[in-house]
Amino acid sequence: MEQTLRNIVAKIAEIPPDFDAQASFRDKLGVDSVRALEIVFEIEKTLGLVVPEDGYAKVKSFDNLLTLIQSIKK
Amino acid sequence: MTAAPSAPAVAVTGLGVISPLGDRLDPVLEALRAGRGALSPLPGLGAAAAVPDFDASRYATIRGLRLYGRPIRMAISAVQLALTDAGLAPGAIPAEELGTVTACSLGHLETLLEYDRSVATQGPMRGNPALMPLGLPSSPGAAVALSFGAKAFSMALAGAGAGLDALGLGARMLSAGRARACLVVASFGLSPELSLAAQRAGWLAPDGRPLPFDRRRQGAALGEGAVALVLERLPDARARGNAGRALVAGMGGSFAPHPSDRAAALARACQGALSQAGPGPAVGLVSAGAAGVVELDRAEALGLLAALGAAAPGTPVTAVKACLGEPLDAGGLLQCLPALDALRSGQLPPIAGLLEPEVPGLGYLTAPARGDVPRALVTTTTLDGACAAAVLARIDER
Amino acid sequence: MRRRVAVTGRGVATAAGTELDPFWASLMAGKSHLGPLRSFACKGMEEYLTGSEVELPAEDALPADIDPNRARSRCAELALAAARRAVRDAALPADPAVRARTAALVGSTMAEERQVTDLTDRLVAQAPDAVDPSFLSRADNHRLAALLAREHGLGGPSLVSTTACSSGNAALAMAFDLVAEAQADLAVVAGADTFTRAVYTGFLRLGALSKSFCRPFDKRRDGVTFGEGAGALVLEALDHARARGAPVHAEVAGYGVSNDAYHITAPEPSGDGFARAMRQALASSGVSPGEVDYVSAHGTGTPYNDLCETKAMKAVFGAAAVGIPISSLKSMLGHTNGAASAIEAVACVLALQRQAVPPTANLTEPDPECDLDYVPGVGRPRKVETCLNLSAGFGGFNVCLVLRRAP
Repeated sequence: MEQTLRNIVAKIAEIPPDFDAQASFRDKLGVDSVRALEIVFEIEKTLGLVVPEDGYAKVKSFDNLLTLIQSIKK
Repeated sequence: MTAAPSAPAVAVTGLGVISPLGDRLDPVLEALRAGRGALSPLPGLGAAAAVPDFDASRYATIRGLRLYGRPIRMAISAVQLALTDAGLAPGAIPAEELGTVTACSLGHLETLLEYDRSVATQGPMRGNPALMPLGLPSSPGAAVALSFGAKAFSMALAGAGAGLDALGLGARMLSAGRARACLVVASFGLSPELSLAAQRAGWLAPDGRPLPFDRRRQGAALGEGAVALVLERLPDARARGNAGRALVAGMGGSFAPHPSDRAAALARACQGALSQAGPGPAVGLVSAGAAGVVELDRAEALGLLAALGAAAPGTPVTAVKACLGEPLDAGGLLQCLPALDALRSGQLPPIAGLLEPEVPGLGYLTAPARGDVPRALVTTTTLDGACAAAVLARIDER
Repeated sequence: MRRRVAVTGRGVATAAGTELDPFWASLMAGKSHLGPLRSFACKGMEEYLTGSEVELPAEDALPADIDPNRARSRCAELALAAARRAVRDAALPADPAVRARTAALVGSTMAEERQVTDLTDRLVAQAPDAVDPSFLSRADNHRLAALLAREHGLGGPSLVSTTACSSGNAALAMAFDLVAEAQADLAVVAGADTFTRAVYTGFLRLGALSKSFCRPFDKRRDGVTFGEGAGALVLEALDHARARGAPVHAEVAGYGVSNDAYHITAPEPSGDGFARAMRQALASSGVSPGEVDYVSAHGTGTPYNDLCETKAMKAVFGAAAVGIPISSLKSMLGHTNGAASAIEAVACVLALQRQAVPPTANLTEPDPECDLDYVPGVGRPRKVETCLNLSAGFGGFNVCLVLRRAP
C-alpha cells in the first residue's frame, strides 16, 4: 500500500516516486492546496475509503499521510 | 482620433501554430497554397480537421499540464512555439512586463462536463476538486498566464469572433504601456459534444465539404487549432534585434443587432480598422473568415464590397477555413497566417474548392497567385452578430 | 488624443434591490441579505446553501423567445435587467447613429455555465434530445453581450470578459479604453452571475465556502458566501455626454491590471498582485495615493484574500492606509462573482454622488492582522472625491478601477 500511495503522490506532484518521506509536502515537494486535495481524492478512489475532512489537515509529509491512511484502513 | 501617430506601433514578433496542417509555418502555408484540405471523416466527430497525434509534452514542459484539457494544451504549445519564433528565451521578458490575452471560449467545456457529471451522479463530495477551477471559462487564460509567468495582465475574451478582438486588445494594452510584450493566443479543440452540437445547430455541411463563398455551399466543417502571436512595441523589438513580422496597424469591432445588419456591421468594422491604420497603401489581400455558412459568407462578401468600394474587384480574397475548417475562437488568428506571409512573400493562397462565387465583385483567389501586399485585411463575422476586422501592415509602412 | 470618460448610466439587480435608492439605503444600513437559498438547490449540500438572491420585477423576466427555460439563462436575465436600468438612467439616445457607436460589454465568471449543467442533467437522464439545436448558441458565453446589444440595438464592439471574479472590472476597463480611444462613443457594460452547481460544489471541496456566512476582514472569517446579481454602467465620452445634456454621475479616470501567475486558485500571499494593480491604476489615472478617499475591496471573506488585500493596501499607501475607508460589499451581498466588481462600481459612483461610504457588515471581532478602517457596521458620511474599485479573480486576475467625482 505504501508504494501505491507513493505513486499517487508522485504522479500528482510530478516528482520521482522515491521522494523523501519526511519532506514537507508544501515547502519541499510542491504539493499545494489543490494538489493536496487531488491526492486525497485519488487515494479515496483507488483504495475505496473516505478520508475525513479534519484528518487531512494535520498531514504535512508522506510519513503523516501513510500513518493517517493506515489508521483509516483499520 | 484613434491610435494617434505618436502612439508606438505594435508589431507581431513571434508566431506559433498548432493546426491540422502542422505546427511549422512553411508546411502550413505550402498546404494552403496548394489548396490541400485537412478535413476528413473522423470517428465520433463527423467531417472535421483535427490536429493529428497532438502531444503537448513535445512543445512544453509545464507543471500541471496533465490536468489541462486539449484546447488549453494546444494553446500552451502554440505560445511556446511563438516565444521560440520571437527569439524570446524564458526570462527574456521579465514576468511583470509580460501580459497575455486569451480567446478560448470552449476550452473549459469538456472539463466542466466531466466535473459536473461526477457531481450530478455521485454527489458534491465525489468530484475531483482539482477539476472545478478548470471547468471555469476563465481557466484557459489562467493556465496560459500561469504557464508562462505572465504577471503584467491576463485578459480573456469569449466568442467565435474573439480572436481578432484579442489581437486588438493586446495591441491596445501594449500601446498604453501596460507590458513590454503581450502573448495573444486563441484555441479551439474538437470534442464529440461540440461536433454533435454544431451538427444539431445546423451549422455543418451535410457532405462535409465547406465551400466558402461558393454558390453551392451548405455549411461549415469544424477544425481545431491554436494560434499564438507575440506582440511588442516596434522600438522595443528592434532594440533587441527583432525586426518583427508585421504591424498590427488597425482594429475594428462591431455588432449586427439583426441578421440583415451583418454586412453593414462588417463594413463598419473594416472601416474602423482601416481608418485606425491611417492613410496609406491599399489592401493587397483579404484573409476572410468565410467558412461555408450560407448567410455569414454572404454577409462577409457584401460587407467587404461596401468597405473596399471601387477597389473591391481588384482585391484578392482568400479563406483558410476551406482547408482548415472552422476553429471558432482560433479563426481570426489562424486567418492571420496567410496575411502575415503575404506581407513578406507576396504569395496569395487560393480558396480551396471555390468554383463560382455567389456574390461577385471581389477578387476571390481560385488559384495560387502573387501580389504586392503592403497591407492585409483580416475579417470575422459570427452567427450571433459580432464582427471584427484587423489590418496587418508591412513594417516599413503603416 | 485620449478622451475623458464619464459614467452616464447606473443599474443594479441585487438582493439589496433593483433600484438605486433602496440599494444604497440597504448598503448604508449594513443590512445583510445572506440567508437560506430558495431558488437554487444542490443535492447533498443542503446545509451550505446560503447566499443572496435577486427578486426581479415581472417586466424583467427573460422573454420565452430568448429561452423558454428561464432558469438556465438566469445569468443573462440578470445582466439584461441591470443593463436595462443603466440604459434608462443614461437616457441613451434612440438615434441609430448613436447606437451604432455604442459598445456592449459583459463580464461574468460562470457566464452560460448553467446551459452546460442543464446538458449534463439531460445526458445523465439519457434524454433523447439532450443536445438540441439551440445548445451551441446558448452555451456561447459571448451570448451575454449579444443579447444586450440586440435588446438595445447597439452596433459597436461587443465583448465578453471571462476573467473570473474580476470580469466586471475587466469589462469596465476595456470599455474605458474603447471610449477613450474613440472606438466607441458609449459603452453599456454589465457584470453578472448566478449560482451554479460546479462552482458551489467546487468551492465546498476546496474548503473555501464559509460554514455559516462570510465575514470579510473579521477574525472568524472562514470563507465565501455566494450571491447572484448584476451591476451595469453606461460609459460615455465626457464631451459627448455634455453635448447632449446627459447626466454625468462620475468619471472613470483609469485602471490598473496585474496577474499573480502564482496558482490556479490561490492568491499570491504577499498581496503583490493587488498592490501592482492599484499602483498602476493610480499612475495611469494621474491620481496620487493621498487623493484616495474610499476603496471598494474585493473582500471575499476567505482567510487568505482579506489578509492579502490588507497587506497590499499598506504596501501602496504606507502609514496612510489606516486612514482610508475600505469596505466589502460582499459582507452584505455575498460574493456575486463576475457581478461583484460591477455592482461595487455602481456603489462607488453612488458614494461619489452622495458623499458617503458603505460599510462592511458582520465585522464584530477584528482580526489583529487586518487593522484598517473597514467601516464596520453601518456606512458613514464622508468627503469622497476619488474611489478605487478593487477585484481579484481565481487564477490571479487583478483589476483596479479608478472612479472620480463628476467634473
